[in-house]
Parts: sequence; C-alpha cells; structure tokens
Amino acid sequence: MMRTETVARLYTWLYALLFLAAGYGLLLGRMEDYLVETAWLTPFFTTADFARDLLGRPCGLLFYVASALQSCLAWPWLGASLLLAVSAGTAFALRSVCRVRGPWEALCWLPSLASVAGYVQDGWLIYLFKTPAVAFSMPLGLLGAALLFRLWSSGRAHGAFRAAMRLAVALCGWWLTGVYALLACAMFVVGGILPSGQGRRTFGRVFSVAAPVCGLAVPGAFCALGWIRMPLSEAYALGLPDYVWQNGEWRCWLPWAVAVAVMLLLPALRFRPGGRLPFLLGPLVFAGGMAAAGSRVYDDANFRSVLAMKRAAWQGDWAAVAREAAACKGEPTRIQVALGRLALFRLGRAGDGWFRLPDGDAECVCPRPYPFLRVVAGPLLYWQFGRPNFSYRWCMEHMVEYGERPEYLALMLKCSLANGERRVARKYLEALRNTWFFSSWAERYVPYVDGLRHVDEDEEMRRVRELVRYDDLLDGDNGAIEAYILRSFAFTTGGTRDIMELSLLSRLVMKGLDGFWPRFAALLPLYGGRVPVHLQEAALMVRQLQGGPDLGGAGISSEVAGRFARLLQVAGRYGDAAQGGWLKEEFGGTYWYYYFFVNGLQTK
Amino acid sequence: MSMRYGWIWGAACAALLSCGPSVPRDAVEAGRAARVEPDLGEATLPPNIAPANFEVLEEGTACVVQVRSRRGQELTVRGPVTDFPVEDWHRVLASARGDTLFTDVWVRDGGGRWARFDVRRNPVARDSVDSYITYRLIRPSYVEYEGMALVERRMEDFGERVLYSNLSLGRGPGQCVNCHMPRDYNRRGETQFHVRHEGGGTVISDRLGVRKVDLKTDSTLSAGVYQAWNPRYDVAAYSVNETGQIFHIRDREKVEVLDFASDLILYDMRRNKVFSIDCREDEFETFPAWSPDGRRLYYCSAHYERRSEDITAELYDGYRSLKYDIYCRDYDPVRMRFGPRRLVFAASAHGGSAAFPRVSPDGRWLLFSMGDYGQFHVWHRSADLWVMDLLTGQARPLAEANSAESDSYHSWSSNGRWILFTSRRADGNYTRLYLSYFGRDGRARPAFVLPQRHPRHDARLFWSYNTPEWMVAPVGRAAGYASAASPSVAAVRAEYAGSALDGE
Repeated sequence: MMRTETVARLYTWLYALLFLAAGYGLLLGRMEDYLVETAWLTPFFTTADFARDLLGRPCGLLFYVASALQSCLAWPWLGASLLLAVSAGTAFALRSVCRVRGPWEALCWLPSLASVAGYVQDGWLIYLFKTPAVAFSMPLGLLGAALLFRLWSSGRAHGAFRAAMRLAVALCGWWLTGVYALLACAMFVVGGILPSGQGRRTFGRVFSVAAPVCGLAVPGAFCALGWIRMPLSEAYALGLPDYVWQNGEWRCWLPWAVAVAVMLLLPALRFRPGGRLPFLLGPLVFAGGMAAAGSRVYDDANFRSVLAMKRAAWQGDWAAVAREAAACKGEPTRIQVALGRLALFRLGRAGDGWFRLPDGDAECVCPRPYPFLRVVAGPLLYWQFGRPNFSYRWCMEHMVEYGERPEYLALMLKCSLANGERRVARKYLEALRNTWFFSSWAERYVPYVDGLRHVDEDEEMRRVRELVRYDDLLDGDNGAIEAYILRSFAFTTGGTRDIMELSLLSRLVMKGLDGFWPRFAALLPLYGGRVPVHLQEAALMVRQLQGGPDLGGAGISSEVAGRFARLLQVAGRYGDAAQGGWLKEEFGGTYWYYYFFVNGLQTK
Repeated sequence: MSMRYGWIWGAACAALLSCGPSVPRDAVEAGRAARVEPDLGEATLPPNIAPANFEVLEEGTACVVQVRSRRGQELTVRGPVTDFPVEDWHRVLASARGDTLFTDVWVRDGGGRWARFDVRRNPVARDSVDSYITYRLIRPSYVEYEGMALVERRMEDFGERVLYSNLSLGRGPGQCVNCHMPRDYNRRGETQFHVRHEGGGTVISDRLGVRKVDLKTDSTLSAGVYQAWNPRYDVAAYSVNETGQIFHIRDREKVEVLDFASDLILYDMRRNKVFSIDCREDEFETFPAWSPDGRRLYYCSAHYERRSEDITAELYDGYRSLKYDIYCRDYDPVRMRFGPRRLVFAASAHGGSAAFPRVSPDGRWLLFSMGDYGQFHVWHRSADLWVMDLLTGQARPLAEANSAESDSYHSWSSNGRWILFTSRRADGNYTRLYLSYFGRDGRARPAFVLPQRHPRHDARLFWSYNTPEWMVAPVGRAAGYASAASPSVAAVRAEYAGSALDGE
C-alpha cells in the first residue's frame, strides 16, 4: 500500500515537472514576445470604475480576474508562472476529486495542457479577440469548475451544504463565471448520477440532477427577461474565446473541447489499480497530450518577427527592428516591410537600405482573413511617420472594437501631446497610471502633461513633430495605411531633409519617377557629399530612362556607376529575356532590381 | 488631489472612520477658494438635481466638506472625494430653493492645522429640471461603432438604465443606433430612434406599440436621420441625408462630417406615408424642429450650387464655404401642407453656420448652435450656443454658458428654464453633459457638468454623451426596443405620397 502511494506521488510530480518544464520552455524560451504583446493588448485597470464595469456584466468575475492575471504577462516570467500555475491547479484539483492515481493521472493533465494550448495556438488572432483576457479565462474557468466540483464532492461536505452549493452555482455561477459555471453544473450532474456519487437516495439523486439542470436555464432566463442585452447564443458561450467556425478556425476549439470532454468524463471513470498496462498507457496519454498541445503552438516566422519588431520599436531600439527586418528568410508581410523601412528611416539609413530589405506581401497566416497591418502596426506607423491625427483615429477605431488596450492608450497619449492637447493626454496618462505594468512607462510623460517640460525635449516626440509640417486638409486612407503614408509623403514638397528624403523614397517605392530631379537636387547639398546608395542608383536609372542633368557632381560612387554599367550591359545583351531570378544574385537589393523586377506587391 | 497623496488621504480617512465628520474649529482662513473637480463655479443649481459630488484637489491629511442653506439645513461629509447621501443632499438643496447653497471646505495640513477655504455660493433656482434625460453613449470614434447604447438617466440621483444597446444582437455585422427622441418630453410614453445597417429602420414606440418603419422610399435620399416628432399632431419631420465622413490630417477637430445632399420629409404616422417637405437640389435642408404648438417647422438649410459632377471632391475642398441658415415653414395640420419658407436667422450673414434650432416651450426663444461652417458642430471647436428672441428677432451667443470648445446638441427642459447640452470643454475630445439655467430675462447662467456619483467618473470614461433629451417620465417600453430593432423584424415600408408643400 505504501509503495503504491509512493509510486502515485512519483507520477504526480513527474507529470507536473514535465508540464512545467515544457511550459516554461515554450512560453519563455520561444514565446516571450508573444506574452508581452498579449499584455499590451489587455485592458486592466486598478480603478473601481473598471471593476464595477466588468463585475456588473455577466461572467464579469472571471473576466476581471483573468484580465488582471493576463496583464501580468507584461513581465513574461510572472505571467508564464501564473498561467502554468493556474493550469496545473486544474490538474491537481481533478486529481484530488476523481480518485485517479498513478500513471492514469495523465488524464488529469489533459485540461491543463489544453489550457496552455488554447493560448499559444492563437497567433494573429490575439489582435482580433473581443472577449476579454482569452489567455487566462479558459485556464481560470476550468480551474474554477474543477475546484467547485472538488468542493461539492468532498467527503466531509454535509448533504445540505452540497445541495445549497448546487443551487448557488446553478443560480449565480453563470453570472460570475459564464460557461464554466455551466461546466461545473454538468460535472455535478455526472457526479450525482453515479452509483458512487453523493446522492444515494432517490430524492438526492433527482435533486442533484435537477438543480444543475436549472442552472442551464439561467442564461436563457436572463435573456428572456431582458436583464442582459445579448443574443441567447452568446449568453451560452460567455467566457469562451470568440473563435468562429469558418476557414478552419474551428480547429481552435479543439483544446477547449478536449478539456471539457475530459472534465466531464473523469468523474465517471473508474480505474482499477494494478496491472502493467497503466504504466505504459498513462505516460503515453501524457506524451500524446503534450504532443497534441505542442502541435497547436502557432509557429509562423513572420508572426514571431513582427512581435519582435514591435517590442523593439516600443523600446526605441530601431537597430533591432532593422536587424529583424533584414533577417527575414522567406517572403515578409507588409507589416515587416513597413516596420523595417520605418526603422531604417529612424536610423538615418533609409536611402541606403529601403530596397535592400526583404520585400513581399505574404499573407498573415491566420484562419480569419483580416487586414492585419491596420490593427497590428497601423497606429504605430502613423505615429512614427508624423501623422498623429490618423494614428489617434485608428487607435480610437480599434478601441471601439477591442476595448481600452494599453497600446492604444499609450499612442493616444503621445499623439495628444504632440498635438498640444494636454487635457485629453492627461486622460490617457491617468488610465495608464492605473495599470500594474504600464504605469512606470506612463510616468515619463507626466512632466509633459503637466506642462513642466516642452514635448520637444522628448527625442521621439521631437522627431515625430518635425515630420508634422503640413497644412490641414481633409483626407482619408480607406484603411490602406501603408499606401496612404507612402502617398502622403510622395506628394509632399519641401520640408526638412528627413521629409524630402521620405518624399523621394516614397515616390521611388511607388515607381513614380516624375518629379525626381527637383527633389534630388534639393537633397544633394544636404548630404554633404555622401549621397545614399539608392538615390545614386535611382539618379543613374532615371537619367538613363528619361534623361536628366549631368551627374558629375552628384556624388555617384564608382562602385554604383560600375554596377549600373554592368546592368546596362546585361540588359543590352539579353533585352527582355533578362529575368529577375538570375539577376537577383547580382543586382538584388538595388533600386534597379526593385524597379524592374519587383512587381505586383499590394501595399496594405 | 494628486495621486501620490492618495495614500495619505486613505490613511487619514481610515483613521477618521471611527468618528463622524464634524466641522473643524479653530481653522485659519485660506484666503482663497479650494480647488475642486468638477468645479461648479457660480452655476445656478436645480432644486432637484443629484448630489453634485466633487473632489478637493488641495493637499492635506484630512478634509471636511459641508453644504448648507441659509435656513439652517446642513450636510457634512468627509473629503477629499465627496459622496453626499442622496436624501440628505435633497433635504439641504430643497431648503436652499430660490436662495443659495453654501459649500465650505476645510483641509488639514501635515502639521495638524485646519484651513478653511472661501465659501462657495451657488444659487438654487426655484424651477426644477425634468426628472429624466435620455442620451446616447458612444465612443468618439469615426467609422467603427460597435458598442453604443441609448441610456436613460434619473436627474434626482445617479440611476442609469440602458434602453437599447447595439450589442443586443451580438457581435455580428453590427448596427448603428441614432438619436433617441421622446415626443413632447415623453409625456405620453412615445419615443423613437433610428437603426442603421443590420435590421435598419426607425423604431417607434407609441400607443400602438413598438414597431419598426422603413422611411426610405424610392423618392427620398435616405431613411430618416435627424428627427422632430410633432408634439401635437401625429406626424414627424425628418431630414434625409447623404452623409460622408472625412478626416482632418492636422486639425484638432480630427473629423468632418459633410452632407452632400439633404432634404426634409414628413411622415404621417397614421397612414404610414412619407411626404417631401423640401427637396431642392441647391439647398441642403436639415435639422427639423417643431414649434411647441406643432404649427411651424424650423430647420436649417445651406445654399450650395454644385459646380461639377464630383460634389464629394468639391466639398472636400470647399467644406468651409458651407453655411447653414435657419428657416421656418408654417404647417397646416388639417391639410398637412407647409407654407412658403421664411428666413429666421441668416447665420451666414454673421459669417457662421447654424445647426439644431430648438424652440423653447413658451415659443419665445430659439436656441441653436453656431459654428464657423458646416453642420456637424459637435466636432467644431468654434461651435457655441446662440439664442434668438423670436419676438424681437435679436440673436446673440449664450456667452454665459459657452466655452472655447465645441458646445453643441442642446435641449430645453419642459418648463423652459433649463438647457441641457453637450460640450467638449473638459478635454476637447469627449463630450460631456452640461446644464445651464435659462432665466426669464433670456440670459443663461454658468453651465455645470451633470453630476456623477464619483467625481472622476467622467474623467475616466472613454465614452461620449450624445444627443441628450429631457423627459418628464421614464421610457416604458424599453424591452420592446430590442425585439423591434432585431434584423428578424422587417421594417414596415413607408409609402411615398408626394409633396407636402402648398401649391405643389
């Protein structure tokens, strides 16, 4: 007997260790940027208003606690620990209640694995979720259901207590924890009708089934009586992530379905001790669960790259952004291209690097088609490229859809300060100060909001405001943010060196060669003899195609001139037969290659 | 109160919990008024308004606030964040009716010395405000509109009730809900609002029940937009508008909403027929409003002669040239005919553009908002409230109530003594509700923000208050709104019945 207990404990800790090791390895080793980004997308405020607002809604308690925990992902080790602890807690609660011991404890860990899988599978979808705190709502909900069942089935619990608890969960649970209270009710039913369940008398059994079934009617009653304003279908799914069923997104439901199925089955299963089969099958189930959870990990190089670039951009580490953009192996998304160009511009290397960066318009690999640039990087790009009104506008539009995400509040704070709107800037500042993890970020803007320092004393703000040298007019981007930024600079005349360079480069990106020479001539004296490579390349090409002034004093290097001569030679020899593929090796990364061979890209 | 002193206040309040608040003795005079937020200033208060809570912004370790009347009623609470008990507040306020409400603030500094700040004096009117208002809660966004609600608020306390939320239908294609308009201050339990997009139509709740009507006919530009329900006769006037949004790339006003065409229609509710009131191509008619006797229709119109096929491009460039004047037409309720239009106020002659004409319940005053151009004054910083004496024809800005930011959508209380309007004066971006007393002398008193239970409520709120209207009674059929606005309920299509103009 003693030996059996020891072996059982061994399995408990073995599974736990494996779970934690794999979880930490995955979350902190490979998905740290994902965790941080999730935190930036999680509205959670320490104010009573926020608590009252969330707790006043159905499923509010779950959302409130989940939002609080999810905001902790801003410190990845803390957030990861909380996520793993909550998920592991479900396994321990199930273990204690379902009399599963030894190797079969692997079954108890399946909901935990599903909880983690439910978060790490989301990828680009995290930007589109409207349900609060999806990373933690499922683990917390499952833990809550398991703990309720544990409490209900406790051998020391008095019958009256159990009856009262069933009623309480049935009547109030849905309001507090949404669908997970219904799951607990369903577990009560399963536990109650079993021969070994707690309700041995007929009345007890009937009650144990009837009370939770009444709980299933509660959401419908709330809807029918007009106490809540949502469709019945949403009321019965409250607390679940807002996955849809189209385009393969239904697969995202799998972890949740597995978790629910296991939690419903476990109270009904009986395991006989002894035999060698469990020693083989139990670990196999666990390993299978790990493998299945691992297979749900969203793994897209472009996504990882975008997350890294955004994190570096928020830290002002433009060199890291540029490195990430340049390191792209496959075809990048427009988000990467746009962020990469932004980084080079911020580093003063736009004229040397814009056309060397990997270019492309790869779709974001997501079952739900969406113009992701708009929501992932649109406001950030507008802000950094000196369009605070449009950045603010898109933050507000996204806030309507996805709530008061700290990322939007932070950008709106900056935009308001740049626009001289200190009163509304204070609103965003105060909101951020009422968070756990972004308050220190916000503190640096206090002197600007208080008017104690001029906004131009902030380096980032100064550089952005230097780009705001245009008159007001009415305009719209039709949601095509990158295209709008390029277009707005392309049609700009005059301004600072940065603005003129952006104007010329934007025209080159758009392959609009008209107006090249006036801009080139205006920029030349500002370069002090060292003309950026792409501008040298463009000057040679435009002169060849359309004619133009003598480039003797235009700072064209002999290397660039030599390569251009070689290009002309190749073009002369092969004519239209020259193909981008084999020319890329020699001329890839030049403006010439971009102009002649990079076609059909869709700016977003 | 700066946040960093919050813990000091918290500790001080906790220590004081064991004893009731009392007015400190031996306080020294501070020699100035305490800084508070929101600041009522010298606003005239209604005798039945909800507790005007505020936060004392002075630094200290303890704070006491007392409101009192000359008749000996008083209420003392701990600060710095006041939370006046509703019943006690009304006891004091009622005793100050027609007189003055005095507010004293004491703050104790770190050395244990109490300072008494200058007493604040707010006149309390004899005239009450209506017991309810209704408004739309909306984020100040531009294109997206997920999550907006029509709300009813009790004025005597802080009770708020969502009448209809566009999330009632779930997160599907979405619908936009527009102005919630009670008829004649909801005296007879009749209200309406518009729904656009999913399940679109005009939801009308009256003695016939709750139903949805499609006011778009083959002969009208759109379904109804701005509405005016005749207070006496079973007709409603609407503007029909071709509207577009476009954005300022630099200006703080951020967005411009333009009409590229607009007309007025009359809806006969008994016969479910739509008549056109005014549909000239070179006039943009909008913002209908009835006189209290229901026999005259006021509205705004801008004269615009298009110069090309592309009016969108024209107006994007020349939007500042659009100036709206105020006109009226007499209405014959028997023949359901309108007389010729008459110019009421030539805003363009003042270099401005008028919007939202509203006649006072006694028919004497015409309240409107006036901006530099256009009609979407809720985003125009130049927009101010103006009032016109319809007896003398004299118009002037309501300088006492106006601010440097947009002061726009306004509504008369049923006794004509209170103006409810929206303003962006708090932060320039989010509209808040303000009230101002309108005296018999035709002058307004300084405006004050609608009280909230927590003084920081508005500062923390990321929503705007929109299109407020007074009501003397609560909405009775709110539950029916949801079903009527549902896409599954098809709107009854109104029939076009021709012109309602005399001689046409």
